[in-house]
Amino acid sequence: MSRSELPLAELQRWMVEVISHGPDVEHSLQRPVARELLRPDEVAALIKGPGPLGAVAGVGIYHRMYQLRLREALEIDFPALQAALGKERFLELANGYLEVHPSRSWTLNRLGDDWPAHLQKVAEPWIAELAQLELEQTLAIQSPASPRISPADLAQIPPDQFADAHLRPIPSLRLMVAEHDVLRLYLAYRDDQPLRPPAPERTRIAIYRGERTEQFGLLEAPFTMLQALAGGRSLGEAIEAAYPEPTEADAEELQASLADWTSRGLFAGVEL
Amino acid sequence: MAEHHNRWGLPNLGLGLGLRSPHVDQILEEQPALGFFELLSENYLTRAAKPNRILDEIKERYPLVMHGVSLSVGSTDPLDLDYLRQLKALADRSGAAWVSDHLSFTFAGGQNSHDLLPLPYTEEALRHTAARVRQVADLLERPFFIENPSSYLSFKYSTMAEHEFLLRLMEESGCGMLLDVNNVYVSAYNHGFDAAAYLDAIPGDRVVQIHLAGHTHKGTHLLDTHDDHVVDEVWALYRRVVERIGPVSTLIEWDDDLPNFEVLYAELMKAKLHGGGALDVAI
Repeated sequence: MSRSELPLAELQRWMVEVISHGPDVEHSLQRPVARELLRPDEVAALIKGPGPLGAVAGVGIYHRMYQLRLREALEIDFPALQAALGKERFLELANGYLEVHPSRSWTLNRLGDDWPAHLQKVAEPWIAELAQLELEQTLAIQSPASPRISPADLAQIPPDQFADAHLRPIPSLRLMVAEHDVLRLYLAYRDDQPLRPPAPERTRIAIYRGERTEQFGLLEAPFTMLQALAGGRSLGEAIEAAYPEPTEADAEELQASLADWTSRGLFAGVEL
Repeated sequence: MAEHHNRWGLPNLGLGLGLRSPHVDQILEEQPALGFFELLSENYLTRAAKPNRILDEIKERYPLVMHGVSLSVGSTDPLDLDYLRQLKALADRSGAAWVSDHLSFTFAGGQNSHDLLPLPYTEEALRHTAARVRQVADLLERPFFIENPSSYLSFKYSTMAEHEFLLRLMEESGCGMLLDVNNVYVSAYNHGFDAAAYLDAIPGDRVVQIHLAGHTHKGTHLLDTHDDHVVDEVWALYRRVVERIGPVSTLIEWDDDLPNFEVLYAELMKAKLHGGGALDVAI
């Protein structure tokens, strides 16, 4: 027997369930969760579409807008991934992700948070790594502003306190390791160069927000040191972690790295 | 023309625009004569530096109001108290004269639709929504107003018309209304009701702000797309409202296919030809 109305909570769950799944509304109406709340043959008894359109067409308007809005949010946050994969593959992966990770936040800024982890399970490894790089950039953009120390501030640390000093990283600093050179791929996208799938190559990347979002690659020892500093270890501890038996060349690399990082503004303060 | 009064003693801020980032540099440099700016609340609920810098500079020069899309006031899921706390903090920081959101629900079953989904206009929905509106107003500790939605479906088991639902909602919750004239036009076309009768039924002292916008004709129905000029029929409805209740703070919503600032400003100034305005507000 058809129902003449639905309790408000059931109606709302049905509607969000229907518009947020499936390639089209006809398929999503048939999903078990949706059918349990409202059978497809009951829809027309409860809902009226706009103008001459029927009930399902009316729900379909909301379904299309939902799908467009969420795909567009992923396109905005993962533009290099879309460029590297092409629109069709990007959409296939996006649709697969959104089926199992519908939006649960009021903001679409967090929609892609789980996409790299999802891609690790369903796509080639470099695809997940490029997505991770773009996610880190989004997180850097959303980080709060903070003051930055200069190379001159660093030079003022008394020599006898240098090893115990802590360099507080700016909130937007993000570090990641990839097993493919996705940084090169990303930079090629940014510079409008031809895109090719990246070669296997361990790549250590720092991402931060300056005047715009910046990203650069690091060698193993400087990356270890920056990671240790970002993790709250003192300068002495970070140097020990990166250069357990430092050579003269290591010392030069270390000094050059510190100068580069402070000139980029990667540190918000020094704690002695 | 009538002189407008509202129950909250809030001023007519004149003619305003939504604050959109592509226009910000020009606005700060030229400081155009505008009564107010409307913040799309969600764009400023961020720790990112740029929106906060823009907010700080604009609030020094113009009155602000806040308009959101994520409150989900009609939802049967619990209110998102974290979102509400952020909203209140933004209102306190921006000095917004009032906060508004829509008569709709956006999330259910823990999922967010990111759309303004329509409610059935029933006693159950009325009781539920009125209680939530009171709760929101208490938490925000500042005037909170509900905007009538545009919609693309209706519920056959609704027991009252949309404007009747709004009237009772305002009475039972104590809130006022952001009257979107384009939304009335769009929904009237889509659902076959009389837009003028709807507008005539809204008490003037409940209305604190008016929205105008463009829409898209899809052949079978209208979509509220905010991507074009306001059509003549909506201007005529606006004139009808203003003649009856007096000039009210009025804003053009234009979000997609955003034109240059001059085009947007010229569109807003058309409101003066239809009785809107009061640009003598101090800036």
